Amino acid sequence: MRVSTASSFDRITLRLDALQAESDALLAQIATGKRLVSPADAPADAAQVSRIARNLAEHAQSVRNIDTAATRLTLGDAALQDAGNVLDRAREVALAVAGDVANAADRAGAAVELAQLSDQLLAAANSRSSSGDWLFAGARSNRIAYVRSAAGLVTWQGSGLPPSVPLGGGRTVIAAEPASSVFENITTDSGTTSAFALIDELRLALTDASLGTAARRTALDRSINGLERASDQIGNARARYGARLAALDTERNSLRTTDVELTTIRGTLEDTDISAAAVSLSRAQLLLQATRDAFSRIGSLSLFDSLR
Amino acid sequence: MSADLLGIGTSGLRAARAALEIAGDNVANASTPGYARRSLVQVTGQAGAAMTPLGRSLSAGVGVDVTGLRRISDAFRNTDVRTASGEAGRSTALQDWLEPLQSALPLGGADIGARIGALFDAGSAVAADPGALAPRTVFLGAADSLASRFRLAALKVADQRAGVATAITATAARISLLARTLATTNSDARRVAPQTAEAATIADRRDALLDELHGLIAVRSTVGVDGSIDVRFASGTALVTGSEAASVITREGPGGFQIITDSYGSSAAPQTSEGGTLAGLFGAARRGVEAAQVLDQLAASVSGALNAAHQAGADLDGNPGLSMFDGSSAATLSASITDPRQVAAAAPPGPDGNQAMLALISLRDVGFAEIYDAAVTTLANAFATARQDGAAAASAHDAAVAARDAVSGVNLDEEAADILRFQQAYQAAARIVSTARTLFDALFDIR
Repeated sequence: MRVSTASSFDRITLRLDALQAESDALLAQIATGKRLVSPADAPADAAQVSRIARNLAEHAQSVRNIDTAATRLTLGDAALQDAGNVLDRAREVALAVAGDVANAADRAGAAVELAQLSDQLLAAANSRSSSGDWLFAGARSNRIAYVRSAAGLVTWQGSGLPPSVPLGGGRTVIAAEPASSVFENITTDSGTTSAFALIDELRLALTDASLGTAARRTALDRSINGLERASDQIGNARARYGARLAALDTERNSLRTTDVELTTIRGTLEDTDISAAAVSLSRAQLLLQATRDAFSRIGSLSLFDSLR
Repeated sequence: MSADLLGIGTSGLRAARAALEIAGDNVANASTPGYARRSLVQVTGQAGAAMTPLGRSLSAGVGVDVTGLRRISDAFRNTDVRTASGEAGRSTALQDWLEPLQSALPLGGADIGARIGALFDAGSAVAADPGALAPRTVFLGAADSLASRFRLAALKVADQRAGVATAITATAARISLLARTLATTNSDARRVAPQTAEAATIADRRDALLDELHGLIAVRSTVGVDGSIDVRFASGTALVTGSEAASVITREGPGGFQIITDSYGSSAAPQTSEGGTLAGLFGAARRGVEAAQVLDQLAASVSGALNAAHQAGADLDGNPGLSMFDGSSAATLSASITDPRQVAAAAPPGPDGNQAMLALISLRDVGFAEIYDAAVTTLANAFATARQDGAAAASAHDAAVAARDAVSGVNLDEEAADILRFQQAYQAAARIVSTARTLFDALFDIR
């Protein structure tokens, strides 16, 4: 076949261009570590990669929410531990002065300590989260949970349940027990009452001079019994906090496992196979060099050189 | 007899010189577009024709006659090249203009889909801690960033559409110009005698024009016996016939761009062109329109759904939720809330709780990000196909050009050999002339 000079030069130029483009593309893949430079390189893979990226971002937010919820539960648990200690101490104080050997001075001293314990219980019930809202205020977490009135009466200011924290995939967790099942609604032999009322009643039984020994004894027994129930209720609440924290840990671990899998899949979809790319690159460069050599050899051959 | 020898020698000199000139022309035009190599057409001189007043011989030949030159060109291979260049032109233009569209609608990184996801993630953080201001600020930032990504994408798509429209106008103008020039070439072709250098030059110019024209628009061209060409659309409507040329303009209608051959009116029926740059540009323009529609629809549905969900809530001060976004198209979308206290996370009357925000983030399941993914995947598929078509069309075009050049192209080695040959022929003819002179001298020396 006849080959025109212009088209033989054109063909070599095209070949050089193609090899150069191939080298550049491979070099970019190796340098960036990414196989997908444009979505058009592999449309379906690119769509899957961006879906995985969104899933990973969503999971990262879920993990942050889990951390938020776990922090609240941990803080709440610490507050409940304080509250439990206060109630236990109140019971000890009551037991110490319940015996016949206790005199009026002992009872007065116990009443002073009980006033302090009531303040400590109030402080525990008004514990705040790291972002400053009240852990036991229910839905109204922006306002203080318990307020002591001028008359010394402590009442709950909150309402409803605390907000549930979304964990992704429509799952939520409530990062606190409602106050109603912690400090309130303590069932005693004489009905339901609050932890604050129990301490107040105990203090009243110790300071009321009009009470006779037997009546005081009955009142103290009732208080000791109530405080024990209150302590149990808080212990139960702490157990539920612990269960929720464990569930959050499980959720966090399962998200991490999923993320490892997703990251692996994303890697196989978008990462450069470095060894294969390196081999292709050296092949392309070899061909490029060979074509250049051949070009200079062919280009230097011309019959015109022989015309004299 | 010797006078005849002088005539024979002279005719040989003329022929060799003409052949050398043609070889020189071939070498000089080795890479001129449209140039087809030429060769000399020569015939044996007619015996018995009087060449000199001194006599003639009936027994010997009378040299060589140069009757003209031949332009070596194969109409079939030319047609092949033009068909291939139409397809190459189409896929190149499509590829060139899908690329900016693809970069307007990327996948991965901080694309619109990722920012929709990020907005829901930020909403989830607000729901986790509804009373805190920091997550609310992040949420508003995510809404603003999503809106600005929509605006940027809309801007880039609009740029692509404007660019394509300009390219279409320029291409149509170029086609009209080529058609007019071809019509002029037709008049020239009728005027000149065949087998002359002038005729070959006109044919070269005509072929170069036709090559370019077929790369721009799909038409059929036929060459008449007089060397004039006739160019028609698939419908049979003439673009160039004789010395008449129609002008091509384009118009954007509801179904995309149309080719109109009559600059005066809508009365002319639109022409179709399946190939050439113009068809590629039309395809890219259609994709641009689709991309703009997808963006606008997505922007409207995202802002509509989120606005409704946000308005169903109450903010930190117990006020009803406001619209999160202003504007109903991608280009005008903007986040309208700047005060983090105004993020309506609570169920009315508020301000406590996060039910409204939980409802808002459940809109993730509507799949807005997936709608974006699907649109971009469709576009990426079109782009990938255009790239593959482009590579195939380019190699088909290269092969067709190689086949044409095998006939019409200049091979410099061949020309060098010819030059050597004609140089020797010239020297031999000169020797004949000098021999004839020696013979005359011998005659004159007889005393």
